[in-house]
Amino acid sequence: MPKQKLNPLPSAAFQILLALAGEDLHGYGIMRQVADQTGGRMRLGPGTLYSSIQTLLEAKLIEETDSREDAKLGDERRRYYRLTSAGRKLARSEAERLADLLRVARSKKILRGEYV
Amino acid sequence: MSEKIYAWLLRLYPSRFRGAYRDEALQLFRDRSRDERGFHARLRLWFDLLCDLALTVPREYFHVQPELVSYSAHLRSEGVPSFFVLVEESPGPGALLFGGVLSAAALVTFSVLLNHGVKHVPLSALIRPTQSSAHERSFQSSPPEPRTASSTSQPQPAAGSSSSQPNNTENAKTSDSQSTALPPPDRPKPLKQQMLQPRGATNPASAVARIDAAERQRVVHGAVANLKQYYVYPDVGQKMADALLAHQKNGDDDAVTDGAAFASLLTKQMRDVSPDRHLTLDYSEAPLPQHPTGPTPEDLARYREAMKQQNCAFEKVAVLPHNIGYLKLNAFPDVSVCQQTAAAAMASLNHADAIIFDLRDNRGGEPDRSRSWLPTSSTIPNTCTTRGKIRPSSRGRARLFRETD
Repeated sequence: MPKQKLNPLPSAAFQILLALAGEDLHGYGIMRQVADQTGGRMRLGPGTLYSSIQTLLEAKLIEETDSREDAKLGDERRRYYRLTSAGRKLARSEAERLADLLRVARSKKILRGEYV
Repeated sequence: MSEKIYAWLLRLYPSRFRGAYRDEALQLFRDRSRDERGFHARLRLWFDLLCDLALTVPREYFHVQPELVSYSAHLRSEGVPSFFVLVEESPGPGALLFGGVLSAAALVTFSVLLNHGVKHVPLSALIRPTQSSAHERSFQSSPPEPRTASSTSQPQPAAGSSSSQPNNTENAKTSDSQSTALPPPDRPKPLKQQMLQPRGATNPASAVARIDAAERQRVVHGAVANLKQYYVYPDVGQKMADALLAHQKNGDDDAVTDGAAFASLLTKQMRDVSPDRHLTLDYSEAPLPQHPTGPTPEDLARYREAMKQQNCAFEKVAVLPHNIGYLKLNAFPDVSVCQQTAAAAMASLNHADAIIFDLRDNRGGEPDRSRSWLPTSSTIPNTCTTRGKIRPSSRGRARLFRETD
């Protein structure tokens, strides 16, 4: 089932994979990172965020690390998530697919150079 | 307050999701509430949350759990159905209350439908008049019944039948129609309408149906004759016949003028002599059909075809481990039709050390037929008789009685 839900890879799931590519993050950290990556266009709600995390966990594209506190956000313990090698591989292939699309778009004069 | 509202909204998610991520979702809500202050920011927060709820709640309910997927694969591989517990938590009081109310509503609905919506039609009432079963009926029905002059020409609104179904006869059913004091209807009812009338039903016609002394005498004499002729134990049948005549002579029957009550009284009188629960005398408003003299060629052809399709009721013939024969026979068909099939089945088990006769689903047959199917001690030396010898009952189901030897 996770494979079916991730084929094609939903935008939210891809953004989460990208967010975790730099460091391990907890849920709110992922949400903020995604918002930063998208210039604030994508704000993942709790339902979308944890539903996607659940799917990615089931597909073993991310994994849960030990719970710990985030010093910036208080003393609450939080679950952190980490990108797995399979998740990184999938994120790379998805990025390459999008890059191919961009090349096609550029060759068709749909996009100007400043977008790439 | 806002967090409480959102916590309540989280209850819309399935319990599986709530169990895994409820605390994290609330934590994320607190984080955003802390960071996004101001009217517009707070408005955008709630807009995001409500949109998120609208999108993800239905999706979560359609989400198939991986356990279920793996379970389905497991099921396909082995082909054996089993239960799989997906949610281990016990249902809450609300769910139990809802389930109880729903079950009660369903029961009440079915009850109302059964009592008012659909009329119960006895199977025998549907089968008896059909011509297609004439062959079978020839083995089950009673001989031509004595009829009074007033009941021979047209259908009568009331008829009584006594059925004697003792243990050792397939169906020594005796029937005896009786006319009533009511005048016959203007025109005969359609056959289907007659069939749908349950026995002993109290419709307006039967409510006023009365039988007189002459009818009572005719019914008693008919029952006596059938008991003497057909009851499996002649001595017991004679005693029951004597009892019926004695009650009649003593005037025990005189007070009864209702057909159904009279049938019940005679049944009780017979059972006082012998507690045979298969022996009944029934009252029927609808006229009973004339007893066929025998199966027609068409009936026989139909019967042969049916037996051919059913392999003469031999469902399974096999040799089990340890050289034990197994024969599942679901009826005792006519020997003249199924002789070859039976011979082949028995021949295949000739070398078995023991044979299990599985008669659990046996619908019975003519007693003479059942005897023809049964093995003899000379042909099968070690017949498995855990529960005893086979003894067909009057209802057609072979019964097994414990054998002492």
